[in-house]
Amino acid sequence: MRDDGASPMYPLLARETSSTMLTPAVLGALAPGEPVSGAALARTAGVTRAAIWKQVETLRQRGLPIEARVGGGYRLPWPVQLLDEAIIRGELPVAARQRLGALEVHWELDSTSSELQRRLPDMPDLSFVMAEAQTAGRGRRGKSWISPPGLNIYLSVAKHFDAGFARLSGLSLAVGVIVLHALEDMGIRTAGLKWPNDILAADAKLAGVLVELSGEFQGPCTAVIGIGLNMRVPDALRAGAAQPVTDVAALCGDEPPDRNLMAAALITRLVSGLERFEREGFAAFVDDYAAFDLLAGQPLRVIGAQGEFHGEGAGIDGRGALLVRVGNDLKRVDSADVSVRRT
Amino acid sequence: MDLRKIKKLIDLLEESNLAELEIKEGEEVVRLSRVPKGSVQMQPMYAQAAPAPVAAAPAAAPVAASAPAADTAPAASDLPAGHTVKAPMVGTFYAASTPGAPAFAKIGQQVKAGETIGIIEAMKMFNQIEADVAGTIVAILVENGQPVEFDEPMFVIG
Repeated sequence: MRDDGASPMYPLLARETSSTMLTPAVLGALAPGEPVSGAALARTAGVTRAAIWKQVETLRQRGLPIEARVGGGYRLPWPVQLLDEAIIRGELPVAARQRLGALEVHWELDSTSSELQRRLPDMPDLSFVMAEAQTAGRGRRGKSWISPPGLNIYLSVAKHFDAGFARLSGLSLAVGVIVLHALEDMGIRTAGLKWPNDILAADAKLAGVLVELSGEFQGPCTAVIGIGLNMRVPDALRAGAAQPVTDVAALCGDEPPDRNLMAAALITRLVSGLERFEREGFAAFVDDYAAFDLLAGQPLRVIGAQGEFHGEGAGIDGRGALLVRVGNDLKRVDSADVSVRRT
Repeated sequence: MDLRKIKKLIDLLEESNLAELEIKEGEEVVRLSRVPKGSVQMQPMYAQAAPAPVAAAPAAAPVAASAPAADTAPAASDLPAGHTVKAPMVGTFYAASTPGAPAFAKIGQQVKAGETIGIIEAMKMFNQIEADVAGTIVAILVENGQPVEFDEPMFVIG
């Protein structure tokens, strides 16, 4: 369970040389999971069958296992729901809708957090950016995040804070708690947190959170919070991942909740959770974190800039630092790679 | 010279019977000598050919500050003149956006106020460290991947 921050280089992307632009039309036509002939796809998209073939190849390279059937016709092995801004908005409770800044659903971005960062000065508080696909989805320290089109959730939100960096201690952990509450809202109760905020189920990565802060240390600053939630990761992509990967589909008997509903649940929880964090700080999340803590009582290996040590997980402190018991000492860890030792 | 390497050298010296240890690596020389109390003193020295003493000097400051037994002047007095950018939080310092990417800031580089010159990571939050004044980077006091303490001087902008 080594923490790679986010998952892994995506080998299929690295091989991709096709210059074909990915467009939503073909994925949209295949979304119901029924077979569609190449001719029908060409008519729908208004392009030649050769262009359709290229699009299908590109989607396959990006990780969608589109089946080709004898006698013509393409099919996805399961239905997918394309993200729809109107549907997501419609699912939000009134309180969340009133507080929401922008809500954008893009077809493809380099990364939802990068897009939000670029446009930050113009984006109101609690603005959300989502994308069906990312070409440069990122995790911690330049690690790639597997981002095939149409399957998972890639969402970033900008939250402004007035009180400076010091008050934001524990924010990244609080976001982990918020995501777990959103999963609970959708009936998923088997996930937990590996410090600081890896979201795992059955020792495999279900979701990742990346928090980037900019602004003044002691004044107005902005957090851009990126969340990647694995809804359905095809087998071929899992095989290329640097750590075990799981998805919502696996936790729901292969019938994951509708992506638009999952997105709405995340947005609802993020709006209320981030406002609560702004008012009450991490203190409001400490108890919930403890309930989700997967490291408590576990034998840990901690690798930090000052070297490696072993100990036992002993929860977190009021700022969100990891506590590790080493003999009679309690060590506080702010920044390190932590893994559970297996014997 | 890598900070961890210097710490290792200090440990080596402490465990040994040696009174003094001098290590030369390229243009950098580190001489560690044991003072009578048994504590360890460190004197950074630079070969004459060293092109930019300011660039090398920073290695000395954090070592002096973090080696508990070191009996040297406070780090702050070693700083070149200018505006000091201090760590706003505890965490790990990163000089570049991703491993292998060019550093945000180099010695001699002109920076604008608000320009990102480094990142501190703590609890997987990545905090952009911005130059709070415009000027020239005259010293970088922290190494990529190094732990930093609250208020620790990180950059000097002249």
